[in-house]
Amino acid sequence: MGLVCDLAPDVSLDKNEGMQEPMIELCGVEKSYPQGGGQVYVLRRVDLTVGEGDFVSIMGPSGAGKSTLLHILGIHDSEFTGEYHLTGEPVHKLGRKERHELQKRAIGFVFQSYHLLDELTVAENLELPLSYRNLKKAEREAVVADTLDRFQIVGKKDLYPRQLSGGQQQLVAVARAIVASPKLILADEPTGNLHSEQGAEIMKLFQKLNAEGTTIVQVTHSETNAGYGKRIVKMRDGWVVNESQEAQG
Amino acid sequence: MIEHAWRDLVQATRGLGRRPAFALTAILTLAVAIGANTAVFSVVDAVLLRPLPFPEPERLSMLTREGDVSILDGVDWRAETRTFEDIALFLRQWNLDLTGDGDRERIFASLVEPAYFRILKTAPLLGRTLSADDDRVGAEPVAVLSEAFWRARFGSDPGVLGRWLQLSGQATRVVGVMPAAFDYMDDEVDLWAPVATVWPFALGERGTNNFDAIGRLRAGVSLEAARGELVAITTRLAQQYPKSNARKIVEPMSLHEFVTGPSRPALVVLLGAVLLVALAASANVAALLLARHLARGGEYAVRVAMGAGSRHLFGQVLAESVLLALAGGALGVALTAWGRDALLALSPASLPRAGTVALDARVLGFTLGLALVAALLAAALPAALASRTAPGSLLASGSKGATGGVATARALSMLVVGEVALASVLLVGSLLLIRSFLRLQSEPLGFDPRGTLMADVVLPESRYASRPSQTRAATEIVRQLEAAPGVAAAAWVTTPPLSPRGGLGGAILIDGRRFSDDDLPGARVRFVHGDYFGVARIPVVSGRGFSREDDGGAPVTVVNQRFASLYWPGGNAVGQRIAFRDFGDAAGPYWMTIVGVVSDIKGRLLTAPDTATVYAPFLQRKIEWNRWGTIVVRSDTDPLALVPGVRAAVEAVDPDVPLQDVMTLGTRVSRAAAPQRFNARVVSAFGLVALGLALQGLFGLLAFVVERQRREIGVRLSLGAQARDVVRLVAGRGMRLTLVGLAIGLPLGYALARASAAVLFGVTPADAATYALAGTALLASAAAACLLPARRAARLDPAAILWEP
Repeated sequence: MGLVCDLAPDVSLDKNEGMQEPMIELCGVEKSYPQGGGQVYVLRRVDLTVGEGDFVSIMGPSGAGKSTLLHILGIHDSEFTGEYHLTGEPVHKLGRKERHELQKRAIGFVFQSYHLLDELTVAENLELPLSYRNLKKAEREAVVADTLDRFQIVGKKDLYPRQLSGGQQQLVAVARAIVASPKLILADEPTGNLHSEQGAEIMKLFQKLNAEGTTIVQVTHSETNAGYGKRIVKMRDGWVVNESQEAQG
Repeated sequence: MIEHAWRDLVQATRGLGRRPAFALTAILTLAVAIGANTAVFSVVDAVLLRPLPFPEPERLSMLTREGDVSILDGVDWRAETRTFEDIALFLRQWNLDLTGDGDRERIFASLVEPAYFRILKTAPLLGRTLSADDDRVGAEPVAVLSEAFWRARFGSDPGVLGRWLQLSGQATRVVGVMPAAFDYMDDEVDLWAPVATVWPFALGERGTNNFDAIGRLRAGVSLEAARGELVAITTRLAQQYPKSNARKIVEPMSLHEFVTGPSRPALVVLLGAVLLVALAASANVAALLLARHLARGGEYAVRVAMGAGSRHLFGQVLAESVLLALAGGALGVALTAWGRDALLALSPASLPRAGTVALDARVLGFTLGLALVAALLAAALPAALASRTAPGSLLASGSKGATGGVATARALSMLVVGEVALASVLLVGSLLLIRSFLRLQSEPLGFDPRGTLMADVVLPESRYASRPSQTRAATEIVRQLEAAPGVAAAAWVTTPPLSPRGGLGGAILIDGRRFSDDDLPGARVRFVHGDYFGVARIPVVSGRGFSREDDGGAPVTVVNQRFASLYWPGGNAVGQRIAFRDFGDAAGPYWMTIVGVVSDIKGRLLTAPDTATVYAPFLQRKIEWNRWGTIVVRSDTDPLALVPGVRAAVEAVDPDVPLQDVMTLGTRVSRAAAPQRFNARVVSAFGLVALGLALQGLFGLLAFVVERQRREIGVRLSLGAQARDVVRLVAGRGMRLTLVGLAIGLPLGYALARASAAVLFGVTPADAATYALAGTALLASAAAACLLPARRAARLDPAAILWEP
């Protein structure tokens, strides 16, 4: 996948030598809103490559553009300029339907506020992504059972989210994010609502998933959490200001 | 697909179970609307939509309107027609006296030619129908009973065949019983009897134009072709028999149209009104779903993030809406029985086929269809919003749960505008109908119904076939009535006020004037006995009324104002001479001098002006066959208290003369206004329901807006805004939406009122006062609905809000 970016000379494409095939390639991605006769940029000339099996933490102050970037990476926002390739597919060229299919196939989400559906049990919450993927019921049940087992939450499968602690809810949310076997997990402040012990548990879980081959991109304010990843991408005022490879924490 | 739908339904059921207040509100809203629609549709279906209960009903045609032809005409039509398979003449609501077996009773018969049964192709429930042999002069009198009469009089005894009835003194054998549906004109027919044995002289008189005609078209023949042929035949007959046939009108129309046509405008208005209620209810439920959408916006976003497409989200919302609508529909059907009974109880007696109203598979199919349409309507907007959900709000920078607030608020506003528009349409309709009814009530009647009691009397033909016997009986009855306790005055009249079928009528000759046959004056004729004008308080405009001296004196007559103004415009009718062309005798015209002119009255309908009318003393009439009349008595106290005395007075003259339709004249007036009262009441009820729904929607929207703008309101208050500023802010929004709704609804109301002008009376669709009143009522109600959320907003504590996490 030869992709040439001649923008943003301070950001190199492949800082991780020996990294596997790129999972995410952003090239000159910009996003702006019209305001008062001009344009307000929230992302400027973002070039970024995330390889398969990478674990990237995006950091930066409020308003830096982290969430906007996560929106674009998650294919929730197609109103940008520049190029975005995900698993080799040119997202910026895809139609709505294809983008949706790609998103379903490739991405799992974890949110700060867990966003489990209150009216569904733990098992039903896990089944939710599968139900949108044309799997037969038996297959879905098998996958859910495996996942419950893998996350050691079989005993909680019939409970509703309100009957779980915050940490347990986020555990279920992570399980839900990987239940459809996405190659990429996008996590938005995944420990923001958890106390540190629970947060550490989740981060360790991410590390484990990453070690098993899942690519992870998280937005975080926490240096500690960022330390669990392999790389940190720092943003300010819409720019990627630097990128560092961190030792795993 | 099915699995998806099923899962959506299961999850929706669970979700609704968790929010019983929301579910109950939506279900009740839909139940009221669907129940009302089902009730109205069950009536509309039975009365208007269902084919008549006969084989190939589309080939059945009514040839006349109001007793226009004679038996001999029918004979000629049958002989000459090529477009009709068969034609039968019949006479509705012929009075017969049933005596001997139990209480004496006046019953209603339809006198029919045997072809009547062949044309309608209906098998009897028991026995047989009438044959050609039954319809010969001198044949054994026979009758075919109606199912209702058979049930009421004989307890549905199958052994009734062969039983003998004493009908007006004539032994008549029961030969058959017809099924209930055979009385398709709702004449409350007790039996069908051949013309020949009941009214034999009608067979040979071309001038006895009392019959109606029904026909069955040949297969493939159009009504237009039949009309052309009948016009040709009647034109030829008019040339051959100018005296009797010159003015006969033949207007073939489908029998279905004849039976149902008069009820159509009112029922269509009713159906339209109740469908608007269903729309308003759907909008209301849509608003509830939208508010819920907002509450669960996070859920939709999560589903999108998990891979749900718009189709899935649409299905999710639709599942909830369908569940609500089905539950509402089921509850609505339960309410329908009550609603239908209420509708039928309110409906005017003239509503045809009301007895066939049923809650059957067809009506339930309508209900199901309506419920599903309501579900779709209610779901459309929330589903569209849900399917546009972006999961961006789920990110930490978004707030949990609150997605699409602005879009939802806009959609809610649209719904509220729609509801206000619908409510204003219905309010305009209600007010126009109420004003029509009030106008009708304030129409000058031309008589004074207060303190007046009336009852129909029929003298049995067996003893009162001749003029002298009829005169003696009527004279004695009036004398007895005048002597009855409590009676201030009494009279007899052949046709009382507000008689829809009009009574006697005929051609009039005016002394000294010549008219061509086409221009001959026509008039309704009322023979009166006693001080009729005094009893009914019909003002004498000029000249005088009748006096006792007239009974045996020179022939006199009194005409109404319309007659006088038609033939002596600007002049004086009093002193002129007129004669009945058809009610004279062989000696030539029987000239009567006009001695007075009386005020016009509501002779047939409240909605129609009086026709030209000639009053003549009963004792001076020349006709032999006037055995019926209405006794009218006036009291200074409650007229109903006179009933026993009136009954006793008539019995004193002849115990075999039954009193029928005993009622006050006031009741008669009230019944005449029944269709307008029915429309006004029912549509007003629907209007109020729609108004309630609109106000509920408005209230809900503002409550939602206040909740959404808590922070903004808190900031405003903290920056010095006064409570009244906040009230203005919140209520202003509600009132602006109300104004937009009115701006849409009032013109729409006008358009619909124009289309429904047939049911209005004395008020135009553009009646400005109506629109002003509807607008004011809606604005005032909306202001009241805005006040609570606005005041709640004004009482918010800014400090608490601004320190909220």
